[in-house]
Amino acid sequence: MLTKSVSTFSLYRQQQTNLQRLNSDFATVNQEVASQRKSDISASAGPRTQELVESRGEIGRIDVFLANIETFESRASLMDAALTDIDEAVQDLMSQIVTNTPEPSVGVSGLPEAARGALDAINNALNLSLGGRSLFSGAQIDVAPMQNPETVNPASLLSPYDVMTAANLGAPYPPLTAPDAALAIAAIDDVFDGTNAATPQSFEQTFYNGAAGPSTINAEIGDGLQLDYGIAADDPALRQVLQGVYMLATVDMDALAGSPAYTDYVDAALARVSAGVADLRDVQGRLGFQQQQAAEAKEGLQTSRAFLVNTVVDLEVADPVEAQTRFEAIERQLDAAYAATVRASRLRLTNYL
Amino acid sequence: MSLTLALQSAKSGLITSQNQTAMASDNIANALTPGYVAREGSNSSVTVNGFGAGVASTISRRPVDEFLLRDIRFEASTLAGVAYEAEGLSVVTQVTGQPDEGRSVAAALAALEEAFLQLTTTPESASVQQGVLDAANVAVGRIQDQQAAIQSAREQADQTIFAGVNEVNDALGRLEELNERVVSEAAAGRDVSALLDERDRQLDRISEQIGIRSYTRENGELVVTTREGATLLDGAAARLEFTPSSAAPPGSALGAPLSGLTVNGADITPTGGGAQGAGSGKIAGAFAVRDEIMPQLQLQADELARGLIETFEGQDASLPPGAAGLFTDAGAAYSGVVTGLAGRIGVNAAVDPSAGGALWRLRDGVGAVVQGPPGETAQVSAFIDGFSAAQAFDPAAGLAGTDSLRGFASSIVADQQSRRVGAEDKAESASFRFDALETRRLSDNGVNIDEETAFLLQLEQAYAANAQVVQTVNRMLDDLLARIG
Repeated sequence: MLTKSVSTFSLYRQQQTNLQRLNSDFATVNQEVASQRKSDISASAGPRTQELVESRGEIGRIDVFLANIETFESRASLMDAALTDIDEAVQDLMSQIVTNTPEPSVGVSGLPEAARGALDAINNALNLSLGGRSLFSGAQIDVAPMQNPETVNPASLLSPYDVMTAANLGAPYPPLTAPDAALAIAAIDDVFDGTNAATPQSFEQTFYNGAAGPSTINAEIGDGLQLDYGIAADDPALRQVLQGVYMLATVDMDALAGSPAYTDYVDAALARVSAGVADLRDVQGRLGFQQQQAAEAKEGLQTSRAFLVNTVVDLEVADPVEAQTRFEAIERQLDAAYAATVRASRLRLTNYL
Repeated sequence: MSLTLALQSAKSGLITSQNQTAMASDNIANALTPGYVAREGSNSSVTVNGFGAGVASTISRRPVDEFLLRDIRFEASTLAGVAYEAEGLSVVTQVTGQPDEGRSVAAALAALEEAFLQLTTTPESASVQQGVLDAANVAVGRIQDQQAAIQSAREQADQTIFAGVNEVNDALGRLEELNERVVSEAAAGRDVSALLDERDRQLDRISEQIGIRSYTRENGELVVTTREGATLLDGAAARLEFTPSSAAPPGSALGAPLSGLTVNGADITPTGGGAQGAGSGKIAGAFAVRDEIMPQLQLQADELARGLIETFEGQDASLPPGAAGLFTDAGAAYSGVVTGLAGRIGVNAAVDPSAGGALWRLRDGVGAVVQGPPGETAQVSAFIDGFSAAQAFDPAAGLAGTDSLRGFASSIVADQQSRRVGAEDKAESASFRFDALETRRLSDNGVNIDEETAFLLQLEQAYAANAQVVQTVNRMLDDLLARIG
């Protein structure tokens, strides 16, 4: 049998290489045991590395979406409560108006005061803020949207009550005849419906301090999923409610009550208030639907997040049992390799001479 | 057989033992010398007129398997080349980081998008706006870091090529001298084992740098060529020529102004596309890093920068035509020159209060002259849409030709890590193959100390026996002289 010689250098080199490899593996698995993470995540993830990077990015976005939903829920519930307050205040007023139509009743002189009370409640609700941010002023969140009825607005140098006078309306006020009633109603319509938005006597210049234009608040609650919710105080529904309330709050009821203008004027106020309230309920309904959408989105996001976290864990976290097993196996191998190296170093012929 | 013949035989035995003792001690002394080929002795009996007259020994170098050496040098070249590629890629992936380290361009872009998403909820908040600015600065910094790492890897590769060329030229010079000595010493019948060992060591040095083939002429002269056929040594040593560059900025390429590789004027540039372009070795690996791998990674970084600049220019409704958006090309709008854009990208000073800008422009648009309503989010939503909108990227970057900004950034990270891991796996495989062959070479040609020690014991006994013969013959001769004297 041919016995092949093995060179001493070759043996040393093999031992050295083996020990180097074992030590390197030992350092790797030691790090994994200590950190509970794979030592080279990209190497172990392989073709799923991009999926891992994208999953981490998505988790970050989901966390922001969840925070956005939480903020939306706070704002939406406050807005809903405010709209409910407005609804209740207006319902009280409407029931008093109804008892005074088509003819004034004994208590008609109390109608303006009731209207002013409702106006205060409406303005307080619309001037609601959360964290210093007005909820009903559109994008101009740094100002309260509704002007105090008795305070002069610097933009127009008029107060809302100033506008509701004959001089500023350019119509008989209080109206005392049916034709006067038609004129007064048309003039007040012009104030509130945006026809003459640039004039000082308009709703935009005197009554409302918020931003013009689209009045919804934006909430990013998912990739490509945006909620535009809420309402600003210059929304047509609220304008109608405010118009009806102002019509009753500022008119000289003693003069109006006994005139032929009474029925047309009060009916017009009631019509605007009730139309506005009906539209406001639609807005509340939409808000409620959006709250439900947000809740569903939240649930979906939480499920997605849990799945993504599992993906990340699966790709990054070292299985502690497996790592410990490998650790022990390599430890045994190293032990054996060191023992073999020491014993082999003693097996020299010169040691026996 | 006479006493004289006996004495002669014993003397030859003593000489043989001495020679072989010297050989064994030489072997033992060089047992751990890399490249040393064990000497072995062979004895043959001497006869004079049909009578035994002792022993003659010849010491020679153990036969070397030239095919094994060829395979080893092939694997050495392959290993050196792929190991260098892995090293070059790790320079860049150190900057990129692992997916969990959050240091990559993808992580920076994700953080920027999250900052904008937070801004939609509180667009009026100066601290949230500052968060967006900070995230934008981090994103720019990461892209610039990528370019710096890529440029550093290219410059290191250029220096490595230069060092490798010097190494090869030095080794070829030594080989030329060794060739002359081997030829002359062999012609004079002298032992050239040490010279052959040294020649093999020089060939090993060269094969790490560039893949070679070699053969030996009958007279012992070595001829060396590259694996692709360019002559490196045939009588006179050829000279490799390479001019190192002081810098390898983006856009620099082979010939403009980066040097190629020639040998005695003939082009053997690995990345030159020529028939004799060197295909293996550390030099080839360094050329691949300098001229192919890093330029593609540079293009990836440049394309990402372009995507970011153009997205924010396109999505910003406040910008007049030709104006720079949130991200700029050296302070201005995108110039149309993508090369090196990763180093030129910056954040527009118009949004930075420390540079005379205003944070609210992150909400209202970089071109906004007056501050808009604090609750306005339309522009912010437009910026966010830009992260997920599909756009075209240069296919030469080696990634998808159409992707979102977010997706492209992720694929850069994945591609870089994948290349690094692939190169390391190739290097590890090559290392295993090289180690296996080298172990076999060492076993075939190396020295076993125990065997040499045992042999010495035998030689000691043989020497003692021959000395005894000399002593005995001497006594016999003395006896004879005493009786006839």
